[in-house]
Amino acid sequence: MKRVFTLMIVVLVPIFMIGQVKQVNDILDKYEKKNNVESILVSPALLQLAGGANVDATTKDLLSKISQLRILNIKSSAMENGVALSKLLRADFDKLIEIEKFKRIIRVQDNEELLEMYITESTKGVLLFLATSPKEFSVISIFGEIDKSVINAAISGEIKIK
Amino acid sequence: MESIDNKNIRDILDKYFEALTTLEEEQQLKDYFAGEVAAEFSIYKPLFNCFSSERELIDNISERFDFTVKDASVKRSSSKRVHLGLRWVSIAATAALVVFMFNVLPEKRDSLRLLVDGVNINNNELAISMAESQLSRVNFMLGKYKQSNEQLEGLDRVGDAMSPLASMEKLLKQNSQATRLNSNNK
Repeated sequence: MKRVFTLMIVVLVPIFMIGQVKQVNDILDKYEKKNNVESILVSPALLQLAGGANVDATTKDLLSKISQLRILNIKSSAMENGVALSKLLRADFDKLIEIEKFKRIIRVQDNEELLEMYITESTKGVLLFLATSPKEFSVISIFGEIDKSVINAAISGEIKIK
Repeated sequence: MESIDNKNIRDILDKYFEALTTLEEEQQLKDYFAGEVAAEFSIYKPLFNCFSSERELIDNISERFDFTVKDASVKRSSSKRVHLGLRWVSIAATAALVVFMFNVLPEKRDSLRLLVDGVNINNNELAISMAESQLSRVNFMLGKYKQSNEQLEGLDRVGDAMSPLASMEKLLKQNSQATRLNSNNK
């Protein structure tokens, strides 16, 4: 009986832990194949930090924490059943943020552009950027071990593509 | 079973000791010595009863042995069931892990993927430039956040610089109060 419980814990705990990751991925999966939608998935091998020529141990450590970068961009003109697709996506994320108690750590409003940054409660989760503009709505999600160093690197604009 | 009298018993006993009895007669003797026995035959009672008591003992043991064997087999089958259960649980766990690896962590399979209008585009350069433009857009906004943060830090620094003025104000207040008290005393 003990074995069964141990086995269940071993199997179920990681599944619960990555629940938020899965839900974010599910939403992105749902929209990525629609018209007027661009979806980009980048593995950590293609990521680098700004000034990445000198890849030191700290940089390597930081990059090792990121498991994936996923970007979804929806143009404002994209519609589904008469409703803007960007609004549907935003509504899905708003629901997820509320249910899963994501924390908003940054909100920047610049004229008509809005950028929000959210993190999950557990460190093994997602760092989420929701960027809204009159032209498009973008979701940039960084999956992995989202600790202070990753958040600081993201805020400083240090995470770039090679 | 027909009852037998003492004379019959003696005859059968005689035949018994000469090894001439039939199986039926031996059974008659056994049955007779199992119950009340005439005084003259009491001497033979242990001869027939000792085996029957042993037989009883053996029966008891075998009954108990049967029970133990049955019990053990039940236990074995239940432990077999537990074993089977565990095997199924481990198979299920492995299956769950496989499903988890392929469904929940699909990112592990791709290093770079670009989908436009639901069409997979095998153009890494385009994918990278699109991702870069999105990241730079976010970084631009974050730059605004950093700017405002720096402005707040600047305000903080101004506050720090003003702190000696605050202590001077306090001293002036104390001084004016002391002057007022002195003039009142006069």
